[in-house]
Amino acid sequence: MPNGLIAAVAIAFLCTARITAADTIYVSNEKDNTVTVVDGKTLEPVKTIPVGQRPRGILLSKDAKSLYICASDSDHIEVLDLVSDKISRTLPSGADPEYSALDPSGKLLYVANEDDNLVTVVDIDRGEVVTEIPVGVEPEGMGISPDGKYLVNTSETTNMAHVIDTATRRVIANILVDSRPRRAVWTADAAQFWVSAEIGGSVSVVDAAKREIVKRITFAVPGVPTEAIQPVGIAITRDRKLAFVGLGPANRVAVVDAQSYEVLKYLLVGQRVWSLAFNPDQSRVYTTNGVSNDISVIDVASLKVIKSVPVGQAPWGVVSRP
Amino acid sequence: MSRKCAWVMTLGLGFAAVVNANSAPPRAEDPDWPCQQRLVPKLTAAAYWSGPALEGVGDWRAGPEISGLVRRLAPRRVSTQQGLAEIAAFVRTVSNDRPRRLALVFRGLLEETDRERAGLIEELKEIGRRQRELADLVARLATELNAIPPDARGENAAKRIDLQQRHDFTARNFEEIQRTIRYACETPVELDARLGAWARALQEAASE
Repeated sequence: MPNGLIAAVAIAFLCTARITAADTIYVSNEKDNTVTVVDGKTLEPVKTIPVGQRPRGILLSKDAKSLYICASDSDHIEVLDLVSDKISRTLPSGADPEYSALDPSGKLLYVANEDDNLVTVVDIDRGEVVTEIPVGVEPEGMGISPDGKYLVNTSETTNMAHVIDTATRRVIANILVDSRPRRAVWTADAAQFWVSAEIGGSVSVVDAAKREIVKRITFAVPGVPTEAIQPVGIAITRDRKLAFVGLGPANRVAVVDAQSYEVLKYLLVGQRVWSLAFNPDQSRVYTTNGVSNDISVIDVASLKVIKSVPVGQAPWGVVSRP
Repeated sequence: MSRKCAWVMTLGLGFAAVVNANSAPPRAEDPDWPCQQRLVPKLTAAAYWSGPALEGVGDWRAGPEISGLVRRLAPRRVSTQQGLAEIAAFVRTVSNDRPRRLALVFRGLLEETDRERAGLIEELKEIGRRQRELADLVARLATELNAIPPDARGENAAKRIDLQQRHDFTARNFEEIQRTIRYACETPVELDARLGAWARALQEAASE
């Protein structure tokens, strides 16, 4: 084989390898009480695993061997073993756990208890509640800083992002944001966290050091009523060049230039787009679509929706495992 | 939000204040809207359709095939699957002018689904209105009840028993309706989901 051809084949192989990054996607289905497993290579659902009642927030353990599932109506966290695909244990969480964040050490889980106005801190190895931190009314989103020193929790009714010092476990700052804040997502450089507001229809970009809003991003999709624009899920690339924001029943994902904060594009995805997650190399974004019961796959390089994959009823959370 | 109501029942006289907090619309602009989800007043094409242009496709009511299909599918009782089967059968009959005609079907389904959905929204608002009235009544009864000391005798004691019964009955009534609201609020969402599935099927067929 001539050298040129070998090189071409090698490049083609590398490109293909990149496009078909072999991850596994996990999706919690709120109404089915299941987790759907999707093969990241074929983008086909391969398995449905029964879990606790009303599974919502999910995240991977630090070693990527387990999935922590907020089983909201079972009032606990379930640990799904990703080798056997069986629930291996449960963790206490306080009432109605909706969403959680993992300390970078992988040892502590911070859980939002929507009905009790608390953030519960759980020691994973010991399977015990360490403490409860009182926060605003209806705590929801949880974002932990990359160094683990700060936890940002949003409260739906108080319309605030609470900054919690994880060493003292006290709220050290409250930042007023727009109505019904949902997610708080840190940039990888720890300089900012972004807070989505479902009813306010905006995303507030907060300077993490000054704890001040530096930009309020708003959205306008031609032909879509403003009431339908309900930002929830946020995913920001590690290099902070692009951010993706799920806009709920507008059925769109906004692509934002994360430096200039300009909205570059609105991608049509499934219905009531909720949570967003990157695959490991950030070449794709996955979105859960709670009304159309599918996930959309966005190709980051082309900024195009490349596929919809049917999952269970009311998909809520999504993670990608390498 | 969902389970706040469950403990409300156990609070006895403290109920009124809690009912007021719970019966308040969940931060939506319309005080009668009883659902947690924000009210989206209208369904619009841009949230569903990336198929052929919808401008200038004409009137979906103009031809009997398309208007007949739209009218058969629009009622609430028609399931997503039934609709998909009818759409597939219709698509097989369309060879000429396919993108335009399928776009026309979508326009019809959008308009008629929106009309059905508007009816459901009015029904939900009526439930919301009634709940607000019940909550106000519970609050009034609780105030009257609080005004009579628990150790009252004679006529006042009888009045207290009567008030307590009316209070508890109204509170239970409120609570029962409140429990069903979460499910009632899903009905417009079901129409939305159905329209989305039909839109995707039409779009795919239009691009074939």
